[in-house]
Amino acid sequence: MNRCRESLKVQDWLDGTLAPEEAARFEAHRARCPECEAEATAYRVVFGELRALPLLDPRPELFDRIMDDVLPQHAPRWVKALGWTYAVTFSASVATIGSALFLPGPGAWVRGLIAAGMRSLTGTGTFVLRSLSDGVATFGETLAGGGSAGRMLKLAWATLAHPVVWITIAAAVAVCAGVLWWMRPRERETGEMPHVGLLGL
Amino acid sequence: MSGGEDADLVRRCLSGDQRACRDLVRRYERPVYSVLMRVVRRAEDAEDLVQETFVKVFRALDRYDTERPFSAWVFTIASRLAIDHLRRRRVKTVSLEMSEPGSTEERTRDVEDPGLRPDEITSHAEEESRAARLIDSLPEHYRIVVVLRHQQDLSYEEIAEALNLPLGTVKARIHRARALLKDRIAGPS
Repeated sequence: MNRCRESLKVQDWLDGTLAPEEAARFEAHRARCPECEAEATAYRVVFGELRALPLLDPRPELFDRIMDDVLPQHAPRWVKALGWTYAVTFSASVATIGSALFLPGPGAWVRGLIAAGMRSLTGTGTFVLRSLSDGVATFGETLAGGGSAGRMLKLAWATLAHPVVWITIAAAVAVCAGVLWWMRPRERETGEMPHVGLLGL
Repeated sequence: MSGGEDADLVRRCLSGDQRACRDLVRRYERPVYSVLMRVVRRAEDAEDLVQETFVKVFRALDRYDTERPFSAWVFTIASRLAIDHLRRRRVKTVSLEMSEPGSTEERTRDVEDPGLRPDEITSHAEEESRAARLIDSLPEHYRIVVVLRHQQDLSYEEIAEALNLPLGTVKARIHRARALLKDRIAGPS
């Protein structure tokens, strides 16, 4: 326990908030007061530790989040992604059509590619249509009393068990989930931006 | 951070210079995050508050008084948001301040606030200095004043204005916080 009243000035002295004359008086006192000297030594350690307090780094994406909010023309991520997707698709289409029209070599592989794609598409379409028509027919039979619920379930199971169907369903669910996650509401202020005008944008 | 450079960046921001806006955010993003992280101690909350701070700063940029240090203004906004956040977060409140009728002197109960869970403290503490652990051990109303004073070099007057507190209260809190830190550094005797 410190009993010297002057020791109350130690923090202000170290902080540089004592008036010059008062600081000089305290320094003279400290030189002959072991209690104040000990107190000053202890507080020097505290001040040293506080000076060593490191700055912390936020995650790098915080900067983009901030700029999304403070710069109005800074398009949201999903708009940018959509734009890039359109641009890439458009460029690929132009390149493909161009090569098919003007280059005999690449034209052959493009035609082959298109033919293979069409065959695949037709095959898938045929399968889907057949499954649908079978399903409708069976459903009709069931409604008419000619089928059974078991047969319906069996058919549904057989349809779902086909890799093309469940891969398609799984892909659709994944894409929908991804899009919904991307567009999820974020907790941020989205009110008016009075600085839009002042930034001249 | 130089006041002249800040004033120049603000002026350029106001004239529509987007690079200046980016520079201004880059300049203050880390210090503001550090203060908020020291106070709220949850990275996600601190980042949300940093974002909110800059939105408010840019909304009010045309009303900023260039005679005042820009840093003090930014930390004023950040500190008030942090205090509001803590107020909202603190569902079960225990008053940490006691004042006697007719007295302007503040007495404070030294209550350890629960803050981070033990696992969070461990994960932070592994990477941080002793100073950081000491700061984390302080009650939140001491943490904010100490961080503003010692990490961001705000004056007592600027802290009082930022936190909307009497100057005497700010001084008392900083003195008391340092005294607590001194005792904790000295350890149990």
